[in-house]
Amino acid sequence: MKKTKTVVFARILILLAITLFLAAVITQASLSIYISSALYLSAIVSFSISMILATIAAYKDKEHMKNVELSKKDERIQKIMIHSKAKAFDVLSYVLPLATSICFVNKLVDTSTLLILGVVSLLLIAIQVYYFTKYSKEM
Amino acid sequence: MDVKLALRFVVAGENLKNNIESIRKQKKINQQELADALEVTRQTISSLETGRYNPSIILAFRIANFFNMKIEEIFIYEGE
Repeated sequence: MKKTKTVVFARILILLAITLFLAAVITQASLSIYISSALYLSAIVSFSISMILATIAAYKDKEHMKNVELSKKDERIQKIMIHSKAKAFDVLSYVLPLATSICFVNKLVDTSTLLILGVVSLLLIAIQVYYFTKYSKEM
Repeated sequence: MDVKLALRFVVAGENLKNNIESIRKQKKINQQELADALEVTRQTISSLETGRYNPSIILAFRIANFFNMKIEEIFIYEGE
């Protein structure tokens, strides 16, 4: 993307949002709840504005939009995206049950939260089985 | 998927060669021009030429159509 004034301003706002968020986290214990809430809110607003500005800048940059359109059509990029998503799902299918087990063994969360984590883990497997059956019929 | 079957696909993928680079150089076209004509990125053309990526059958036909050649003149399957 071209380095226009909007892009630079959006980047500054992102840095500001990160700084505000870190300040809110660090000073949470020492400051009053109103001040830390204001810091969190400022971080969210700053981040949102930067995202809007970045989107506007992206739409104005014709070269960038052309590249985006091309990458949507490019089968190699699509394949890379599908592979990376699949790999992320593989990792998630190990990590989520592991995290649930750790929470269960160490009694880190209450029963209802554990139940939700367990249901989500099972739901992932159910969704995978559903789409496997669906695509098997289609292809 | 059966592991042996999956391995056969991988081996088959590795044994697919192509002459895209030599044909492109014969026709005096650069990678970017070819990429623009096929509506893919220049990196895809580079990956195809170096053999790091094997195209789908659709893209293989588009490449063959672009060069006005038969698909088997560009892509050579060397078997297992």
